[in-house]
Amino acid sequence: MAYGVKLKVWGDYACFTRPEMKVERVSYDVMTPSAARGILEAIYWKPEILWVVDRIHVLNPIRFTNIRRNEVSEVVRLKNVDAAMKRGEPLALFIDETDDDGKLKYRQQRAAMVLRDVAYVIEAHFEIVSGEHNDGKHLDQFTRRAREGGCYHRPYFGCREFPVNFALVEADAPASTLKGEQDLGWMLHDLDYGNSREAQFFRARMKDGVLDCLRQEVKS
Amino acid sequence: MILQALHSLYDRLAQDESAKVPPFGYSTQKIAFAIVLTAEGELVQIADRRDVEGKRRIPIQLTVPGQTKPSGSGVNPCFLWDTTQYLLGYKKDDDKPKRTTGAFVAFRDKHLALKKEIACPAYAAVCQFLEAWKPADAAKHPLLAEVSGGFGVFQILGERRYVQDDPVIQEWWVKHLPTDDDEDTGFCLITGERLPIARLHEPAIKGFPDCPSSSGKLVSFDKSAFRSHGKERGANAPVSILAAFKYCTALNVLTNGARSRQQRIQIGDAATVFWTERASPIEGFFGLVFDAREDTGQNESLRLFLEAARDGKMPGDVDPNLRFYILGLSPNAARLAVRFWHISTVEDVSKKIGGYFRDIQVCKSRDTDPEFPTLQQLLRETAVLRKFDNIPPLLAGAMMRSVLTGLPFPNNLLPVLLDRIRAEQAGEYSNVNYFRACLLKGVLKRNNKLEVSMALDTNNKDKAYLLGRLFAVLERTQAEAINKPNATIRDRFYGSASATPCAVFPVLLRLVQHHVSKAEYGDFRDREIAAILNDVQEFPKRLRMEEQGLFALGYYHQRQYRPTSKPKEE
Repeated sequence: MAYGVKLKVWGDYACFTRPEMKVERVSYDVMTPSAARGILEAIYWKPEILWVVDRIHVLNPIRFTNIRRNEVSEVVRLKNVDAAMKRGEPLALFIDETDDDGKLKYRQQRAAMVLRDVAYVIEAHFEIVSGEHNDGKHLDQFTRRAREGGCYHRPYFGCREFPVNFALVEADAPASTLKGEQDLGWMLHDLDYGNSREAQFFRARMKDGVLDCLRQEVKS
Repeated sequence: MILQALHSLYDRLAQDESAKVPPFGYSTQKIAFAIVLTAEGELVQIADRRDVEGKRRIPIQLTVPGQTKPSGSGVNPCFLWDTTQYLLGYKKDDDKPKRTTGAFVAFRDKHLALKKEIACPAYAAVCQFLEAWKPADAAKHPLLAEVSGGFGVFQILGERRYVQDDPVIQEWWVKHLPTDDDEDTGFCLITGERLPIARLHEPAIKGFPDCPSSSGKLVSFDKSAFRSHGKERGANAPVSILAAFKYCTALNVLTNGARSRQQRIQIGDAATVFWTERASPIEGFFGLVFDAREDTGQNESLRLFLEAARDGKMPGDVDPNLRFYILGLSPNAARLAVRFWHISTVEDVSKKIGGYFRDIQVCKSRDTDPEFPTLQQLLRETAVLRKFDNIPPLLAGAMMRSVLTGLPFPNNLLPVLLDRIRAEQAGEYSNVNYFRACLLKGVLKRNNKLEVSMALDTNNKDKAYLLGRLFAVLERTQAEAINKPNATIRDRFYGSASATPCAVFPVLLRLVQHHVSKAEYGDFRDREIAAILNDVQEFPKRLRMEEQGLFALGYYHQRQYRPTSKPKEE
């Protein structure tokens, strides 16, 4: 619909993980539309609305850094969850659990190439999928929450470890430091939750720091 | 981006005859010997096909049908190439003779079964050979003991090419490649088309000894925690089978193939590969900037390139806007982690390299010091006992990134250096050598934005610098006074002089008076000391990290200072 919102978001780290480099994470150069959608949904969302990201302004130069984190290699099994629920058995996965030979069973150290010092302005609008067509109601709620800092959970840049600071942008979006046209290749647009969560990609082109996320370019 | 750039690299190399990049369905393997047969299938000889390099014999790289043999104990014969076990039923010091025989039988049966399908005299000769061959005959060929464990191919006497390169066989092989009908189609994120998606990305990237079988995977989802949305394996990152083959093969060429000698640099645990968008001579010698080897042929062009870059000029005849890709990888279990990924132009990289060498340029301590020290030589100075294994792990990749992007050096470079300098203060050789001085100057200039010079700067009034100089003069005075002291002031006092000057320098100045009276040029030294102390108001209680760095640099500059002309009053 006609109501668009602009939200400035910034933070120290960000990791918009490329699907192919998911184990040893490598981030995309810029925020993905699906991550932007996640941020908006953290601030305000109801099942009646659907956020659509129009544009992402990249304000800061793109800088990477490397970190290593200790993580686990296995997922908790469903039957363990069952047992915990029905019989009250303990449910845990310890990173330092060793097997009979003394080797660590689950510890995996994973490297990650993450972004540093990111700042974006997300331009988006919402579409009403059900319920009363009262755009003003939803818009007001979002605007109020964005102004006050309200959110259901702290929005994050791709991974929960990288929190987002946000502020509503009432005037025009600030200019980006990036100049020129950049072709970022095929970038993940979003997951098609209706179609067994198949990944959808689009050809990302950034002009003077502005990434256009028009839906019609999406291929799946 | 990374996969796409590698994919384009494959397309570029595939058109280049000299690159010898294997087409889809083939791979490059190290072949040590060839079984030479007559047209009727009789064995002529087992010929050594290795290249001779000095004292060593290196197997040559050939394109053969099929992929690398999977590891494990299963019997899986390859097509027209394999180990001595499969080809001839021979293995040196065989502890499982039954398995060796079984391997040969499997290989023979596989090829005989296809005899009718492949109508080609060369193939018929191979089949006849296999039918008649008895593994016991292997003992007659002494070469086999040498190449046991290596791979071999077939060749017909009189023909230059190998049997697998016969056009009829190649045509048959390409037609009978396993089809991907049973794989799901999806959106390939490299090419943007709907194609069958690879379940596993083959071939594995070779050349990483820390990984099992020396090969790792760039893209893999082997543990359940790595999968998302219930997707298995390759479905987590849809890439078509052909595109996966292309990018993996291109990367293999860089890490392990013929080009790896020039286009792969090992810095610490990070292997860095680089390539340009189009063929260019830069690809040939760029690696030497970071890790010089014996390739004397390239050194002249490298030196010209670096000199031009350092002076801010664009070198030679290379297109400045040529895209330059740099990828840093390091092994982690059976996977490869991306350390850094940088896309730039030749012009930009030249500028950054030039800036880097300007930043680290210091006066040499002896004539044999290299004008353009390699990153390997520099990073070694941060390692305990100067062993390459002890280079702090993340430092190597981070330094590489700083050099190529012009960003400040990693934060832990200065503490690590000062640590090493202090740890080696007692020793035969100077703890602040040319390479460490290079790094110190670089980090002080780039990270701390200090104005530091290449050689001794008598106008620099920074007290840490002056104290470093002072320490060098005191050390020299002692050396001139006492012949072969058991312990010099550097052995005893460098660390504390550098960290807490207030406690140490009064003691040293008291000591030096004795040295001054004993030394031959004592008066001259005395005046030197006075000149330096002239600008020092008081000895600071403590020196901060960057000040200690400046101290070390002042110490180095003063030690290297050789007056170029005789002083007027002599």
